[in-house]
Amino acid sequence: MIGQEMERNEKHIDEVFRERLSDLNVTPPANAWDVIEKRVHRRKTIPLYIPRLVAASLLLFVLTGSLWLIFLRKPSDKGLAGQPVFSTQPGEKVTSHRQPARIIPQNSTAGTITQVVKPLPPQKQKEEKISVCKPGFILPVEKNRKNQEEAVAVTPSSMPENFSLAFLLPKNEVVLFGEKDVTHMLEGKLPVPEKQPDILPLSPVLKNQPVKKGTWGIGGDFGPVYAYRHLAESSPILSAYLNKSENGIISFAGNFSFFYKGTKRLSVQSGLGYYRLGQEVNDVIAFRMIKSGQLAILESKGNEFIHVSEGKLGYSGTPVFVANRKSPGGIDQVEFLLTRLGTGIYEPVDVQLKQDLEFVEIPLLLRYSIIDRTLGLSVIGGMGTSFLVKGQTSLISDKGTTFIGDMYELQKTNVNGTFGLGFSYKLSPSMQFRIEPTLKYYLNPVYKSPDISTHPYSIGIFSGMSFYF
Amino acid sequence: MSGDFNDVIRDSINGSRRAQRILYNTLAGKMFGLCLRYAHDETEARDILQDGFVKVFKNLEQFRFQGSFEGWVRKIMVNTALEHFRKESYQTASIEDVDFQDPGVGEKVLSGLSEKELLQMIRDLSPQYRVVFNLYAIEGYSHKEISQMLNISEGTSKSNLSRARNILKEKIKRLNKTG
Repeated sequence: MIGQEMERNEKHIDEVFRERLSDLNVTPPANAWDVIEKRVHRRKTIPLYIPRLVAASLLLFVLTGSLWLIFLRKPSDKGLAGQPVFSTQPGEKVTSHRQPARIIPQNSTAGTITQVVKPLPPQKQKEEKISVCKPGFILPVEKNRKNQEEAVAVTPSSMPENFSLAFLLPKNEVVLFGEKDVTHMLEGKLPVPEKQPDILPLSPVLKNQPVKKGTWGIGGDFGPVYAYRHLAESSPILSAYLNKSENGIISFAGNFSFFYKGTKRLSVQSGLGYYRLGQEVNDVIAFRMIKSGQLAILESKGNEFIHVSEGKLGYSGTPVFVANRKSPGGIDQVEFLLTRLGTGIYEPVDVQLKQDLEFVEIPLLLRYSIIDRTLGLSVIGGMGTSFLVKGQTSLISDKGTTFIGDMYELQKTNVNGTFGLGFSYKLSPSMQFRIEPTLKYYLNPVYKSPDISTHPYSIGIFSGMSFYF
Repeated sequence: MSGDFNDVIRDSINGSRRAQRILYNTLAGKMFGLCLRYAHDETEARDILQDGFVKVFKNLEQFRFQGSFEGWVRKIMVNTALEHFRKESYQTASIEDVDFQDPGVGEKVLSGLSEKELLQMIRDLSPQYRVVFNLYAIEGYSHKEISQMLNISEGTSKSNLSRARNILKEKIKRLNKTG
């Protein structure tokens, strides 16, 4: 009797609260809608690290540019191109410690400039070149050792004999004019060649002009990547299972780079990169409540029923309970888990997991130019340090994508190796368009698990531009 | 659900702020009442309400126009309240909740209490008792479902409910004496 009374009493109290409170209507705070409206309609927030990356990149750019301006730029680069640097009166004797440059007149029906001597400091005479040019165009001449001694550094004290006027062109090259040329120019005529050329002019070098040694440059590229991972030193059963249940994804990456061209063919590259890697995990089930359609959730941090190769699944988001349909050993888990959850209450649902790993990278790469022409080809190789900025897992079901939580037991700092080919097209002497298929492989395992050694990799085709100063 | 209201939902899906405002005004009162039952105070209830409605509007296209829209929104609100509950990590039982003798509550006493007093009683419960009492006694979930939703055992769910009830009865009894 007492038990029945108690049960009645309990049901009674439940009913009273249900009847009086289930549809309780209370006016919410006045500003609640404003907050909701703002949150619903606000644009996607930019992750906090993106502005920091941009700021860091800008800072790096400004610092590099400033250093270049202060220490590396030569006075002759500062906008003197086309200006006469000095001149002598016709007939005036000019003293030179060296022989004047060999005259290499250009055969040109258009009537062009007579000759050019490229001045170089004495220590660089071995790499001397003599060029023939017309104003604004520089024609390269193959390296000729005989010319070494004929090159002169054109300074006011070393104006070669028979020349009256010198113009400084970009890239430290000088156009020299003889008396006759100057007379012609003063009369408004084009200079007339004095002799037939003994070296045929090559094609204009506007496109073929070699980039000067010691050149700095900046660039950016972006492209799609295929991201997946390689399993090494793992148990064969686990590896076989994970290789069967996981797939690579198409993602994207981008780089902001600066270059230093140390020699004609070799340059060093660094900067900042952003790589979004990851994978898809199939053969996964979640459990849906038959009555309400709600997915079963799990509160504990670890989940022994799901195995993925890129970290351990945590539940910082919506903790949907997921499991491999089959265990790595090949045992079907569905019935077992349904029994635990409550047969008849839950049903299994096929879902997919998507793992996203986001890295910020500082690379150090070497580029070796195999072909340095309008269409160029380089080999790229080097290493980089990658910092994990995000590692998370989402569940993809027929109801959309649900963020489950961050991955843990992932290495925050990683080292990778890069190898690629660089195809370039020179749009101008200082600007290149680049397409670069690149492979990046993480040299250390990113997952701290002792059972598995996971090395992410990406294969990307990047396109971008570079500018040389 | 009327055709007009379905049009409001469709307009809301298409991003109409006016339609979204209408939806909000229609359901905000009831949903805030629900949030107050799960929250410890009004500030937390307002947070749950806002988070819940943001989810509603961001997932509105998933509503299939089958069944009650209010029921769909209510489910989202309950889930949001549970997320808040989990975030706060209310995982251990409160010390105050020692075993109570079943005090027995008369019908007169209960019927004489206002909604505000009943609500306050629920809000005064420790979080884990409050959430189980809400889910079982008011929303109508079973102990099995609650155990899954909260990742606790069925026994814990039953025990929490029993203790919640006893605390409520004790409070009602005290009110009766003082009143």
